[in-house]
Amino acid sequence: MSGESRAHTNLVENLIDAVESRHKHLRGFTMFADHHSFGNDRPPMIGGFTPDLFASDVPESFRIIGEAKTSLDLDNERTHFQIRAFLEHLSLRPNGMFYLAVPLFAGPRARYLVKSCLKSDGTKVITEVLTFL
Amino acid sequence: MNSGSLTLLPIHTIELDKTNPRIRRFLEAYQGEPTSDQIALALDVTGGSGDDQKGTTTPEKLRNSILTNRGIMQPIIVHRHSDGRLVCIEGNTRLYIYKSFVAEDVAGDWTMIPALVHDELSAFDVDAIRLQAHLVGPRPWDAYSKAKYLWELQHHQLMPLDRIVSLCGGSRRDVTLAIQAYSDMETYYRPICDEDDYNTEKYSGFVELQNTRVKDSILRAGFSLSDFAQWIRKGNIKNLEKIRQLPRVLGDKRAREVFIKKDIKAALDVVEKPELSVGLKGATVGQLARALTEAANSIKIEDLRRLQENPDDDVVRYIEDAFEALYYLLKQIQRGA
Repeated sequence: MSGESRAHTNLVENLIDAVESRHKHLRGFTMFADHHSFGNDRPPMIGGFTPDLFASDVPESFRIIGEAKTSLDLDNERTHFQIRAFLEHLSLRPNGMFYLAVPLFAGPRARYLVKSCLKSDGTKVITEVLTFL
Repeated sequence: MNSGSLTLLPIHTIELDKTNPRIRRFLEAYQGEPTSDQIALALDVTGGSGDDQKGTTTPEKLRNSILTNRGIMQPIIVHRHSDGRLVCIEGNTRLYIYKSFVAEDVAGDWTMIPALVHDELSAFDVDAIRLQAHLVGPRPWDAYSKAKYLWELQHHQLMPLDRIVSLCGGSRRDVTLAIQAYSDMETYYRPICDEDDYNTEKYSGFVELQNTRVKDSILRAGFSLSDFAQWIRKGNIKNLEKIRQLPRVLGDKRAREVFIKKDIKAALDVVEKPELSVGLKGATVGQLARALTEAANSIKIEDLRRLQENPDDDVVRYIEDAFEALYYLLKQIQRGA
């Protein structure tokens, strides 16, 4: 595994831990992640992209999408399309949450990116950038 | 045939039935004594967790379910021959899974297996057991009943979702999809139906609804899941498989109108054959080709991005159709030259 993909895997693992610790206590909570420990329980494709993490309760009253990005991945066009697709998907439902997991020093850039991807039409998606060392 | 005796048997004393049709079919290609791996292949226990076919249980799910339950619920059926040999005539996969647990040192005691032992069965009796087990078999629940039961376990009996998933063999996706589909049907479909009007066969439509593309297309077009339930009830979508086509229909203004007024079949006709203006219809292939080249070369960057983001957009499909038709036409022209 290259250093870059190792870094991405670490971010995904941190993202899984963070979402679990915040939401797992909710009844019917279920999570899918693009990580070997989840076996075939991978997130669904959303707007042509597969997020790193997908969670909700069942029956559904909220929905969470999580994405992990290394510093190098943060600024490319694909990332913009991806995040826009995820935010648009969440904006169609009540109680949508989007988490972007990035390395500590990429936090400000990631916040700017998420803000720029949010539509200015008052979309009620909760977004949060999670930073990890 | 007597009723047999129920007992716990040491697994190392039981032979897998190499004359079992499922195993024999596979082993006919091999010479000599089959290895353990070949029998595993024959039983398909290496087949992973591929999707269920017609409601059957995959080996992976069976394995997970046995692990979660710490054993099997139904005993295997064993034939004790006159020479004392014990041969499994029903439950070879379960026996193989027990043997593999022992070989892999899986935690727990997998050395003994519940078995119904019959003494000195005739060939007729063996066939009768196999036929009843595999050609008649237990009557599986229909998909709606399974979903209803899962929903009740979670909703009324408050069984944790993780526990339900484990007991069902570990497919989180299948369990959550069934519960969510049932929940949507109860929430949006049942309230608009009279008691004798509620059709459980429509459940598969609510399973299709769980597809992210389908649900998003409904919400994106400004409709709600209550509207979807109305479409199902009123018969706008008779063939429930066509629900997969909703993103195409709802993404096209005219098709959408036809869908609401008539049904999805008529709407798909509109999508398949888009209306062309009189001017376009009268244009020659040469004129259209020039116009197409000009339009493709001058496409705006935002339009290009929109198509990149929405590969299911009708425009992408029209371009693919045109590309294919032009390519074929050019081949025909060059062949004649």
